[in-house]
Amino acid sequence: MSLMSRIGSGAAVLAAALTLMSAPASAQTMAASDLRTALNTGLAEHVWLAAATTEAALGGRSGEFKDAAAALDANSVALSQAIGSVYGHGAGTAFLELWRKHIGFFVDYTNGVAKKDKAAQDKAVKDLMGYAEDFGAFLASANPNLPKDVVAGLVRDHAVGLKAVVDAQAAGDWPTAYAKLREAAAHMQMIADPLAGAIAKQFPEKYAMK
Amino acid sequence: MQQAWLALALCAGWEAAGPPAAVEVHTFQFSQPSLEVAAGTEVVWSNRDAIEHTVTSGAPDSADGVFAGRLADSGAVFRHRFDRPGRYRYFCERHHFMRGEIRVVPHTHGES
Repeated sequence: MSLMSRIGSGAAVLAAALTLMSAPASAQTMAASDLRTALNTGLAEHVWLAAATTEAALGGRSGEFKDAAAALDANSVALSQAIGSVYGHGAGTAFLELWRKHIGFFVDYTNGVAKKDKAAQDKAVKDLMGYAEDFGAFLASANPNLPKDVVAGLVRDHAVGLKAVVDAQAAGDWPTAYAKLREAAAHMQMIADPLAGAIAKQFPEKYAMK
Repeated sequence: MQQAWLALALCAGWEAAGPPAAVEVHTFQFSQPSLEVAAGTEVVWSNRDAIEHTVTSGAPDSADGVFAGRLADSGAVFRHRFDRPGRYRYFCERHHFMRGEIRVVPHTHGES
């Protein structure tokens, strides 16, 4: 399956799941397993699209970069809508701002790599590490079943994983780039599964265990 | 005698403005993004996020220095009394998307 068809397939699954998540709670309950699948799909899609975006940027393919970035942002919006459907519109908006911020730091890192600007790379990495604390605090605040430090650690691992992809892309080391990309995408399960489990535990009336 | 004392107190600006108004900071949001209070009211911001936020008057590109509070961690509190009617915008310096405003209206005598 090609990268783009994988992305297209993932987007369809995510869209269907998010439609279900966004329906009024009184109208239905969603299986906890469906929630887990939706979050896994959405977060893995984030990694695939991020890598497609950085690859296009490093390759100087501006048209492809623009389209990949737009798809990446559509994924961000879908994830924020999922969070908003659980924790309210305001929380969804705050999530989107935070999520876009970390993508911006990755853009900074990629630009630093492209320009061989070590200072810019270091600053972007520092910003990403700081962002992990913010994101951990956000999820811990929304859901007491998610310890801030654990979430922050997982997000730091996510940042390190994607950084390895960008570094390999920049070096033209495609075997490593795709191996690291698979690792980075698989790692999102480490975030999606606990997040889905914590949400289902917090709202057992909405997310049925089957 | 009591009336005279009350009149004196009011003239001196000692009138009671009512209980403090509360704004919680939770999931990177101000719980009441737009809050109307009477002049003389103290507003209390309390942080429920396990991360530092600030309550800084103005906007990210134009902080105006009217008030500035640091909410270092969960449980931290910042208080500010608004004596003059007007519209006071504020934001979080660490997370610029977090914004709010306090609209201060003239205190009506007899209100509490």
